[in-house]
Amino acid sequence: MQNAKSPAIRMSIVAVTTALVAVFTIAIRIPTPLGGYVSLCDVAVTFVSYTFGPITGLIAGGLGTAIADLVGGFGQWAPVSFVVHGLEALIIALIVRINPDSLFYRIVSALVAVVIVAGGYFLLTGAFLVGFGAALPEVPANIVQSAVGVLLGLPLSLSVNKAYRKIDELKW
Amino acid sequence: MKMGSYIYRKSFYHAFDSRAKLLFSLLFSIALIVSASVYHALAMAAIMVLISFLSLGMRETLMNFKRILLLIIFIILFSPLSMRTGRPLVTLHSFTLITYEGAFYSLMVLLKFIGISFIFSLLLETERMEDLIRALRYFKVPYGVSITISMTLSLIPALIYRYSEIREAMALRGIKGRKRAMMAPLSSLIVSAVKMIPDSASMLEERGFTSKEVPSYKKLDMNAFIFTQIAISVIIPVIFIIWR
Repeated sequence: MQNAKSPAIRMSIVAVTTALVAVFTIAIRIPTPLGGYVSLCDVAVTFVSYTFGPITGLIAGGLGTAIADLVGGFGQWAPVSFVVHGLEALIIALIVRINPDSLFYRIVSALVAVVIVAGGYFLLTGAFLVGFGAALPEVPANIVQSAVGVLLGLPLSLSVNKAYRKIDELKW
Repeated sequence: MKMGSYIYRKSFYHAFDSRAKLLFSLLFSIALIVSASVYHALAMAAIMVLISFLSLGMRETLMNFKRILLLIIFIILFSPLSMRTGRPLVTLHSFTLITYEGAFYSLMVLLKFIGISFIFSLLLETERMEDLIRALRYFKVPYGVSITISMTLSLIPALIYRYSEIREAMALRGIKGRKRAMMAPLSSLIVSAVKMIPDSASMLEERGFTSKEVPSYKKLDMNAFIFTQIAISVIIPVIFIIWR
């Protein structure tokens, strides 16, 4: 029996989930016309938020995608990914936490996640990197990526919880 | 799968201290973001491209351009259209297509983007990730954060390898169908990763991990030469910030 409050286990949970988000971001990438890419990072971000809660989600979502950008040669996007996906994970987890078994809250969290990812990338890349005119064509790709991410992330978290019941011992 | 972007060379930028380079990258990015004149942004972007050429060579510099080429085209095509007010530059019958202000804004965005892209590319192509983590620790980034980053970096290749093993095993078993072929290896990978958590936590505890700082076996030195490098890394961007 693990003590989920131990600093070592919390550190391990954060490190492993951050690595998972980074792998989901790196392993499957579809290039977009803007030189960026569409990935499955939102699947991992959604899974981590649903399963491990807001704090782990915030760190793993933000840090995992930022590390993936850094090691994948898209360093200029790392600060944007850190903010957008960290916030996405935090908000998803906070909404689902209201009533973890409610399908309604899961759908709301999925819709909010899509708005955060598409809106966040548009605003931050528009303001700091490429200007709003050039950031606009990226919006549909981000909507598709985040929508597919949350749609796959939900059944994935349910199937993982079913396949590995001990995961409950690691929640904090 | 390419992990990391470090390119081995013997250039002055490679020899630059990781802390100085990290500070320079951060401050130079800020100077570029706050830049208010085309000449200012052009000078900064040109400096970064020149450093890239001198430290990585023509081929890698062109590769860095190639990586952002499509985005450059999009900025040229779309940014001028986003600013509608001002003196007309290109008109179609009586409709103003591009204004002087729009063209100026696009040029600024383009130069800033090229500059920032080259700052980040150069940082990651001339510095190893472990040295950057040491530099972060030197600047008092919390111990928990730096150890999480190093654990994550060591776990990523292991998880990618595990993912390819799972996919191969499933292919050998003849698991087909797009939905199952995609979801099954992903959930197996997650279960496999989550099972690592108790082991890595035990490992951390056995190595004496607490939430407090523990001494590192390899620390970055500080001497007059490195101090000069750090001072240069601060002074140059600050000059650009004041000049803007």
